[in-house]
Amino acid sequence: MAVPDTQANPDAADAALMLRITNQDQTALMELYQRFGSQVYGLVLRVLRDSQLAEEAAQDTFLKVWHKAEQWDPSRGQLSSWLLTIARYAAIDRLRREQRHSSASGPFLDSLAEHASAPERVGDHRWLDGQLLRQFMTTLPEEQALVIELAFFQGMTHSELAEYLQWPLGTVKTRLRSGLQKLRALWMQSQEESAAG
Amino acid sequence: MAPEEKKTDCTEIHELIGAYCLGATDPDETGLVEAHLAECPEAAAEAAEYHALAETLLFSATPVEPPASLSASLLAATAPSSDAPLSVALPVQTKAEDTSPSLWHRIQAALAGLSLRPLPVLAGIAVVTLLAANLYLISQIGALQSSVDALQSQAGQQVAVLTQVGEGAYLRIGLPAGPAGIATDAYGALVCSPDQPQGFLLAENLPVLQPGHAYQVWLGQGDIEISAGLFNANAAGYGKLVFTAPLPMGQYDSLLVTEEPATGSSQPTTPPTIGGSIYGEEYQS
Repeated sequence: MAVPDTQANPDAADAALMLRITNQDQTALMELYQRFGSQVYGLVLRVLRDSQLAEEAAQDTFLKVWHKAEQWDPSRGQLSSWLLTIARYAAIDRLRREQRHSSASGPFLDSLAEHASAPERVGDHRWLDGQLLRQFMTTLPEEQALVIELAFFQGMTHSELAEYLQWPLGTVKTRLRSGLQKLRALWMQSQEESAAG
Repeated sequence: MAPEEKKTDCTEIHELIGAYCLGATDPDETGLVEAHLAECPEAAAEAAEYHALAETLLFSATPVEPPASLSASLLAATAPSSDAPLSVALPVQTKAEDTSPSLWHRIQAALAGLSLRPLPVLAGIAVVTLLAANLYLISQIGALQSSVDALQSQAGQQVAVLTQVGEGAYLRIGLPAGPAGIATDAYGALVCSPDQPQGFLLAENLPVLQPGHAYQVWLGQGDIEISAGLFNANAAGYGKLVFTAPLPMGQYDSLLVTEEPATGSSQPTTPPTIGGSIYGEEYQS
């Protein structure tokens, strides 16, 4: 990883932090943890629905960063996205190892509606975009929101969704496709409005 | 393949792009989509939009404060001592456990099969005892080595700060107590150089904290405050911290010390016990 120019690039602080982690600076890792710990833990908890497993997956995430920090390429994405992608895969891996899928029907959708109106907790614009997307999810038909949730947060493929939900494969594909198309349309519209306003 | 048939296939594959970007396609579908994306710019553009959507979904989970045990286990797993001694000590301990009974059985077999010969038996026991003692000492040396490594790392930071002071270009600023009523007689001093990321904070007359709490140091840069580390005050209210900031210290405009949980916070949650401005201070040279 190249030494970052911290003054010219607004993301240089992230690059400097990752460089320190690459050099096995433990305080740098704990800074990363302080910045993103709650987002990582919130994400893995949403996947696993079990605090013990979520803690293990969150630890897997930060240990992977500790050992593979040099794999982050700033030109290919923001640090937060890279970290949360690792967290998602770590949680899904653990979920598969546990050979279980947490219940994600009624209670999940209830909590989705509840959190959709939660006050802003993080100033980061990516998090605000994420909350907007969460709000859009509540406007989708329930079965479409459910397949998107299971596909993304539990890592299920078409055939796994069909088996888990006991729906015909064609129905799963149609509902997932329709839900994603609507979500994408809402998302693009909001992006355009945001750019215009 | 007829053009009409090819168009139908293309449409079918196109409809899988959203699921592909979410990671929901089965392996055979994934192969078809990837081949299609390589030759269809329109599909590739659509995939880019779905990828952005999927990336934003990562941020849709509500942040949840992790349990305190997580930071503790992370610290333990990444401590300088956690790798080296383990790789030395574990095989040694395993060997000790495996070897001793085996030798003992051989001694027993020798006693059973041969006439009693006390001297060789005693010699065998002595060998086993010495072997076990050696293995124990080796494991202790491994643990001591890791402690030395940790101390060397700490000393390295302190030497870096002292070198700055020795070379002349450093800042020594007073950090008065925070809002009235917090600790009116607390006082701190920061030693740092504008071009270097290391800093040395000394604080006196700090209130002694309850167990499970610590002082956390924050460096301010505009509206952003980042943690520089945690420390505790002794019974006399004296505390110190040597830290390495992400940027040279000249990039920061303030330093605050707040009371936080012992595992640290992501942002200050209490009024500053001590703090002050760095920005605009004149560096001594």
